[in-house]
Amino acid sequence: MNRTLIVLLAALYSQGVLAETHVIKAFLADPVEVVDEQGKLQREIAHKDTPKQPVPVLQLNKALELVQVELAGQKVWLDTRDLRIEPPLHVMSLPCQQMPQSLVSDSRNNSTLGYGAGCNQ
Amino acid sequence: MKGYLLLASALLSGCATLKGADQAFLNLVGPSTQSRVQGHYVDNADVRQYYKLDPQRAGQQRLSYDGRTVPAAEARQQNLVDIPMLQVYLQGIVTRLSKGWPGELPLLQVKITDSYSFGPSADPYGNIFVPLGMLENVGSEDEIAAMLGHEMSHVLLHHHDRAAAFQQQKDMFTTVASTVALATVAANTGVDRSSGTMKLFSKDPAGTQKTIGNTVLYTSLANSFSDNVWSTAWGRSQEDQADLLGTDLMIRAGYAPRAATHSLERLNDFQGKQKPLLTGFLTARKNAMQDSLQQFNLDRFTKELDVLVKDGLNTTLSATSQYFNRSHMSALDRDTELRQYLQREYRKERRARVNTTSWPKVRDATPVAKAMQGYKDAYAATAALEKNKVPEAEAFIRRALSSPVKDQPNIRRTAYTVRLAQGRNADALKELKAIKDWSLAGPSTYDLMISYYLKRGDGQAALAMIDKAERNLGSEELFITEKLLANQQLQNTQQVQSVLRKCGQYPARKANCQKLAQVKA
Repeated sequence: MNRTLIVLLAALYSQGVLAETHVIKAFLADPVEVVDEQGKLQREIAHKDTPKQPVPVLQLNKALELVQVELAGQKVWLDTRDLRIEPPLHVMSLPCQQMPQSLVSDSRNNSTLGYGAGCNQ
Repeated sequence: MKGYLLLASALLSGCATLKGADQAFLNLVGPSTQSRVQGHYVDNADVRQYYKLDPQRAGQQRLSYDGRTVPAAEARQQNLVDIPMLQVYLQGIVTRLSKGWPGELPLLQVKITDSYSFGPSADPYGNIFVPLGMLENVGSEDEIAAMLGHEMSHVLLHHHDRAAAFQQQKDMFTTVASTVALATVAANTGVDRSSGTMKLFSKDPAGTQKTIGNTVLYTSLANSFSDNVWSTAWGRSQEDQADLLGTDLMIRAGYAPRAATHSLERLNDFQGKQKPLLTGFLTARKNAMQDSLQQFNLDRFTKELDVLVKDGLNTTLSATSQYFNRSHMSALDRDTELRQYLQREYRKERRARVNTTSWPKVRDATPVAKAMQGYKDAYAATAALEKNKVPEAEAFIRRALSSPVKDQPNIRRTAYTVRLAQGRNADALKELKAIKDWSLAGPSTYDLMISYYLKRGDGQAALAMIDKAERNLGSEELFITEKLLANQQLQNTQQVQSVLRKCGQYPARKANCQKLAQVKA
């Protein structure tokens, strides 16, 4: 019982810490949708009325891709689809610098169109 | 003095092909494809032209792929990975995406490669190569669909014709620049008949020289522009188009388009976050260049080039090229443009949630998980070898050799490298010989075996391996010099002559074949 509680508290705490380190760097949509905690549309905000400075993320719901922030003194949920979040939520698990050179050098097909360049290309 | 410019301007405005050149420059400095598209991209006239497959074209492609005429430079470079359950799953995603394409479909075939790069790629024959690095990092089936849809779109939109189109544009630009030089010479050249023979002389040697000097510089700059930047301009447009069509296909197949953002964010992370170079330069120059090109005002454009030269751009072309690559083809720019397209054209569909359960089910299924772990262990063995940690490499390769993919080319090739590092040369060779399915092998793996047989003087075994390579990689060119050598070892004069004749058809190989023939003669 105690162990479950500790795990739950740890999970809650780690999520809070994670969320605190994120900011909304840009509002990409116009209008931006304000949603409820389940992602259901509540209202819209015109892009011109969105903050120009980075906005700290208070909570992050990774499963629904929602963030809670404070806008004009009110806590609201926004869909990450409308936002540029820093640091990004989707990153590589294997950093580029750990790519062995021998694998990188023969890891490209010639004369093909790829999704994007590799590290340092 | 401006006569040559007028002539060149006339050539420019009268040439339909150069409309493409103008567009290529607009790709560099103008608005994105996404912002110019009205309605769903898949329904646009630009895309409709590809609905119907050209049977002759399709026939030629199949002929190349089935035969042995794929140029060495276009042949697959990596080893393939055989994980049947994963293969079926990925092919299923392509099939599902294909249903959203309103036109005729070329053959599209997923092939998993042993690369730990992130981005998939496609070749003109409809092969979509999915690197293990991508599968190790994606979070959902929707994300996989975003990336496969993008690659399919390159094939559906015939983007591999780019090389030909690019060359055509480059040639046209060079022609214009040469025309400027020729026209200048003509305008300032007189004919001296006093000596009884016709002799050309320059009426304004200093002026002509100066103009030609500049023109040569501009031509050289233009060529460098073509090589380093212009191709990127085409590339940018094609990436944008593939993003748009890929997203349309995703939505038609019922996938969540927001997953495209996930993969583009990951791609951006993969590519690093270096600040674009020469930002100030482009900001200052882009409007002027765009105006000049839109109006085909070569005079102004020339002046702009002059500014570029003065700014020292001609010495920093590779840096410029990097800048264009990073700014205009940056994954985040693509993502931003794509999100705006989605908001404009798919207000409802963009709300769809990503399904995060289907992909983990496949990824974590025992046959897939064990196979992928085998490849990760081989990868770790190579990484350990790079750090000279041979015992560590041995531990990793031992694990890889107990996985279900133990007899696949990448694993055995890695084992070969580990054995060599251990000084166990005979065992190293045994590892290569243990490869079961050579149809999965890439050129470098074939190369090891062929070289071994040739060194031993076993021409027959070398020829058998070359034959496998030709059949499986579709290219005769790749190992034609080795084929010549093997036939020489066997003293098969008739075959030597035949291979020599064929070798003459490949400019990159011709000289080596001739050298080999001389040595033996």
